[in-house]
Amino acid sequence: MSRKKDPSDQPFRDSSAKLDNTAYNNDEDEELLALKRLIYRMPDREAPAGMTESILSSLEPKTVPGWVRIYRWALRPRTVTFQPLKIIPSAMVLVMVLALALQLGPWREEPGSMDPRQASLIPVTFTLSYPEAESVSLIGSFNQWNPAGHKMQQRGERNTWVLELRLPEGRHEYAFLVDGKMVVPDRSSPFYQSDGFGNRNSVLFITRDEAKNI
Amino acid sequence: MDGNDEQNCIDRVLGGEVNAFGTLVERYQKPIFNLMYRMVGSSDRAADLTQETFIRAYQKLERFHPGKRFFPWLYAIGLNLARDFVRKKTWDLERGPTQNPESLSGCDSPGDQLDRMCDSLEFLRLERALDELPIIYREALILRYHDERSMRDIAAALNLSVSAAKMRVHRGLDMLREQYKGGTHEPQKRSF
Amino acid sequence: MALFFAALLIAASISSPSVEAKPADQSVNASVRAASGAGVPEIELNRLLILAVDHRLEDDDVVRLVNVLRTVQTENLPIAPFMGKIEEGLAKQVPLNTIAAVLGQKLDDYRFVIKVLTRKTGEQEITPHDLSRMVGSLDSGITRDELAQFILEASGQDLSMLARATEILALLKQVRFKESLTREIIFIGLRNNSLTQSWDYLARVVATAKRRQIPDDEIARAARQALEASRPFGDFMAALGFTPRDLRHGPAVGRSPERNQ
Repeated sequence: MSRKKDPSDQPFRDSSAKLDNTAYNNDEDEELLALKRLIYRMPDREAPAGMTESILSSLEPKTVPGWVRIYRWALRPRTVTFQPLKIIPSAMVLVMVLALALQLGPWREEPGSMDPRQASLIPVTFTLSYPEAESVSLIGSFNQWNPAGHKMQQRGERNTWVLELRLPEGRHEYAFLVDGKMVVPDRSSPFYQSDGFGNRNSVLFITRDEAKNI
Repeated sequence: MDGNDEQNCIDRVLGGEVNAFGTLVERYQKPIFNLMYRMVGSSDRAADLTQETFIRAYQKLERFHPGKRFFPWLYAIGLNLARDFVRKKTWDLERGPTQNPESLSGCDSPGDQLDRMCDSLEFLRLERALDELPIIYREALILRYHDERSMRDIAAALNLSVSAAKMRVHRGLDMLREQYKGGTHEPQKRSF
Repeated sequence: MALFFAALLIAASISSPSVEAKPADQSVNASVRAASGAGVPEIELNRLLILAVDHRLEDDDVVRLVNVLRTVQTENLPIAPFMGKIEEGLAKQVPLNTIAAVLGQKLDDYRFVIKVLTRKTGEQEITPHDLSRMVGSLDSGITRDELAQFILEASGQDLSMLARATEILALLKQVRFKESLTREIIFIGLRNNSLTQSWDYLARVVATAKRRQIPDDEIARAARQALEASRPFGDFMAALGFTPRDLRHGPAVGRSPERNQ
């Protein structure tokens, strides 16, 4: 399961070659090259002595349940040479078969990952006015209520929180998660759904037919 | 230490071996400390924040995805911590942290290990110029040209896409060069 | 995703009693095994286990949630709404006890709706989607009594249409459309079998129409006429004077996202 070499995986190596495939004229070339070298040579500060001990001394040994560790083990990327099992000796054969068959992708859908079906999604803009908030995320039925990857940005004079997304047709439930813990519905939507936890989610209907998205 | 060794190290930590975490601390305390120093300009503060970063990472270790690289993950934790810290200070944002009187001008704090830097005006000038850049651009440059990280690692550390990270590096370099040419005399507004 | 994680757990619990078997470990393993045995798809079990790791759930809580999925499966109910509710509760940092209580309530809601439907139609098939739609109306402002009465009184045998109708009933109530008019519209649509899929957007159009100060009576008349003659939804909209324009109504739909940075 060896991967093709991905240029973004390559560490930068100082060389006289141009970087990042951009065209500079020679003088600029020299200037930038000099800057890069300077940055490279910039002396590092040493961390204060004893930091490691100081950190370790404040840590408690972890008591992670066995099943979590099995799970983490299962998630590790595999190479063709199979790794020895430590946790489930007697299930080795079964797991070997499974491990070789495992196609291990990202932990979760990476936000912004390219979906071949992107073209059939409809753009939607979510906005929230909440200037005091430090952070706002959009959570909903379309992202498994997971705030990661759906952080909203503040824009404009009134610091309105904004997020643009592409969503499939149909009915979607959603809410804004303010500062990681407060659930706020979308005032601009007339439709709601009680979540059972004491909040109201907002409801959105999207159709490809522009006429109905009035 | 390649990814696999790191993974084994983490597994041991999760198995209850606290000391195994020390390996990771040893390996990464310097870049994290330097990140913190760039952010807050004080050795003591930087040390505190570095400790906090590792402690935070330790607490979240179960949630660290086995397939990913540890340093960018750690770095992102540190960067967030530092930003929160900076945000809470009542510093004049126009001036930026390294012009805070508490932090050194490079040569004024005794006990700070920057004597070498004081000797080198060139580096001092670089540090000042870097400090004028928005944080993400500065960090992108450091990660790329000082730490020699891959674009993928840089993107993960800064929570950007690879193409956005490339842009930061590219633009950052241009901006740095502008600073060197005199730049604007008013300090840049900080953008996070 | 570790697609075979559940299988690994099951393998572990079957084959190695010598695995550092804390009692808690075993109960997670055992409950996952039981759920899988009952037919809960592995992909859902894996999703749940990922959530458990992400949210650092106690083993007891993991077992609780897995057991809920097992119950849902054995009663032949759709798993997705329950998984969704778990995800939602965890994301909103709701205490596990509350999540469990809500899941229990949801189970009861499903059982209730099925009982009512069985009374109405005897043995019939309903898609999970339509069933969930009907149950969903109970969270949209319709009480159990209202729902039961509505279902039993409604004409027609098309459960898909009936599900749509219950949703419309709830939504139009939310925007304070005159209830008697709502019922008229719905019953005509059901009787004529004309309450088809494009009428999913009825509530949205009604909400906008009301914002434009179009009286309920006029809206109802346009809808009735279209439904009586089984005309397309677009005709209903045209009768109200709507043209394809982007009127701001809830999140702005249809604008291309501006390029970031």
